[in-house]
Amino acid sequence: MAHLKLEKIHKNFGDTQIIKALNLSINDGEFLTLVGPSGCGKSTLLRIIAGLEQQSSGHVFIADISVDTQKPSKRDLAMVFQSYALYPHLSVFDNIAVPLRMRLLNFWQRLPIIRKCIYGTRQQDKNIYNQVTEVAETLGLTALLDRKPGKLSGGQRQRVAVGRAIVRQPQAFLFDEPLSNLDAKLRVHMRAEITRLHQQLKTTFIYVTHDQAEAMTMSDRIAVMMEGEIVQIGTPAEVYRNPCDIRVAQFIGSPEINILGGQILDTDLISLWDQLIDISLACAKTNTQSKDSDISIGVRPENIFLVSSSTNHSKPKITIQGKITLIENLGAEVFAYISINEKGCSKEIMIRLSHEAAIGIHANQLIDIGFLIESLLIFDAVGKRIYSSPSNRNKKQPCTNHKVSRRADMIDVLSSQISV
Amino acid sequence: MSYRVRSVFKQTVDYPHQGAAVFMVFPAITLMIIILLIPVLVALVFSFSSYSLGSNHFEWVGLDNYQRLFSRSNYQKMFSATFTYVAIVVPFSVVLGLGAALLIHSLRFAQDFYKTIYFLPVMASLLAMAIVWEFTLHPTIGLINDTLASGCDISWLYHLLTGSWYGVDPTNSWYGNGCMRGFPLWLGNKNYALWTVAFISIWQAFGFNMVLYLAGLSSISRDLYNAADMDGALSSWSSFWLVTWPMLGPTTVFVVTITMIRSFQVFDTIEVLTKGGPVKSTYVMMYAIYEKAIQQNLVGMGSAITILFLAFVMVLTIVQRWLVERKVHYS
Repeated sequence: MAHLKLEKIHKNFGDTQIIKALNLSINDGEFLTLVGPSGCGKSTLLRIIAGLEQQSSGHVFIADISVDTQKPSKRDLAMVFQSYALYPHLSVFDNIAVPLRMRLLNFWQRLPIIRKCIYGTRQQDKNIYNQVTEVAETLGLTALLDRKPGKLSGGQRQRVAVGRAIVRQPQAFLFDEPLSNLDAKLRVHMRAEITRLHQQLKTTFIYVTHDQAEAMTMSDRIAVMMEGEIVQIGTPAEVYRNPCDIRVAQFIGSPEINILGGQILDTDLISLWDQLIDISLACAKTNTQSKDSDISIGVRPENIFLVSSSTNHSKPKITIQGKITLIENLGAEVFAYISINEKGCSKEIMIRLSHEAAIGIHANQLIDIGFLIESLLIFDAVGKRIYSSPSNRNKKQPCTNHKVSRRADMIDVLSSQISV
Repeated sequence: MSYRVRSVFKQTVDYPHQGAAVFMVFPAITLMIIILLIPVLVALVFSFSSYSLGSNHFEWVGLDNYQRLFSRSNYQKMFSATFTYVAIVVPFSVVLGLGAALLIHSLRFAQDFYKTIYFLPVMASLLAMAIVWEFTLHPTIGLINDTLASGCDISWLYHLLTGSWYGVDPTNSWYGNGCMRGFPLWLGNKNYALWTVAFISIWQAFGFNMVLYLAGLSSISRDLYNAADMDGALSSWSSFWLVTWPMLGPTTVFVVTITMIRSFQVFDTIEVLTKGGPVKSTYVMMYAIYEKAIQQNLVGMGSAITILFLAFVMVLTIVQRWLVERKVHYS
């Protein structure tokens, strides 16, 4: 159990920069997920924490001790690999016992025959046996202890890999996309099991995934990585409701957020499909937003509703007519694709309706849809968030917060330089 | 024509065109029997006779040839030379091959350079190389004995190598003795000849084993080494025993078997360098077959040795198959 800290981590492979000046602090006992598209450097970051990869510059601290020069085996971390990396020649029992044997037994005690002549080996063997069987029991592997990994199914191998990690009490657990080789059903099941494991062990978990659903369901905090940087870090709810970057908004949430093109007309007036929206761009003043510049307007599919004579929202909203092109019925909810023709260009947006709301709609039907202005997420031309709805405005602003924390870090660094 | 065929599911199935299948495989099976099986059977038949090539006289002698094989001292020397040779060459060339492969695999650059260098003896004709070795090992003009003799005049080296700095009588040591009475004749001395030939074979064979081990090493997943690191393997020594050695199991079985078979088959170095001598100390099986069946035209005797040789190789192959299936394939 320990608190981890990364300071100004850089990583280059040749001329390509994989990770750029990355700072991250992980609290004791926290479940932190690093999520991002493939190639964003999240696995590399995890391997840097583990010590399997050496950072080009920057520092890693575990429990406030710098581990930059320490070998992976000395860092006291445990890792579950995407390929599981089980030793194929060892039985399940021996696989789980390896971390204990490597640490509890000395060189002579690991030798085949001589080990029995050394005092204390038997005691340690008993100790290891008890710990391994205990772990096997929690993971439901007791019946499989004699089997070789080659004779196990994917899910069972995954469990053995987890067992090998939790048999010790390391400072933190590292998971490198552990569920990506499992089928969809098993993945959902193991997701819950790993979350439960975290509740039981109360140790720091660092979990790397490209699957936003895993990130949303399992973590205490999510760090969204794009192109070697952490774009946003926060609780799953914060990252979902209050994304500070268009890439985060697009990456988190399934089905994907609808992005519509709009324009800024004035400091408190934007246009969308020739309709004027009167909102005050609170953050806009801090950014350099000029008039007539293009913006992207994001609306989550569940925030769009069908407008009929009976619906009557008192809050300001935008309505538009479109044609339903496709309906996907998932049982509990219904996804509808609606094509909108405005100013000669067509745009398809997706809406997510409850089963009841979708009764009576069919493909090729013309329909009025609408969304509340307060549910809009507005991003400037480079993708930075520039509008926060009044309901969110009182809460912490992740975008500005991030900057504050960066500034604080810089002050830290400056003061340390001064003290040197 | 129709055959009733038992399939793996224990159901009898009717295949109306089974005859066509037999017709199709007929040429291949005939060729296999003529080329592969009949020669062995002919050798087996000859091994029970005293036949000489070209003579009209064919006489059955029963197990006489085999009896001679196991009773005459010549053949006892043959077995002892063959097995000693195999027992020297196999462990050394396997361990050296593995060591070279591990070293080359750990290099960041110049891997291909070293691979080529170590593979050179394998590619070079052993016959040609044997002549080079014959010069090198020549008792009077050879490089090795020249070098050894030149050390006798350098006093500190002489003291060091004879152990006289430690108080040992120089004449009692191997080196001191060599300085006084001359260094061994290597290929001409019955105590050294087999070891010398074995040394040349190790020099030639380990490059081949190295290439096989390199292929094995490159197929080990990096994740396993990473897992070993995370699990607390502090030194490369522990990750060698935890990952490398077990994962090379199939390679090792193959390398040991192929080296054994190749060492059993040694002929060219013996023919060029010692001709089985001195005093039959390098009289290995292949050379014995050649001498009996070709030079002395005792086809019966030669065939008996051949059959015995085949039996050894067969046993080796079966043991290898059994080991591979049971022990070292983990899936």
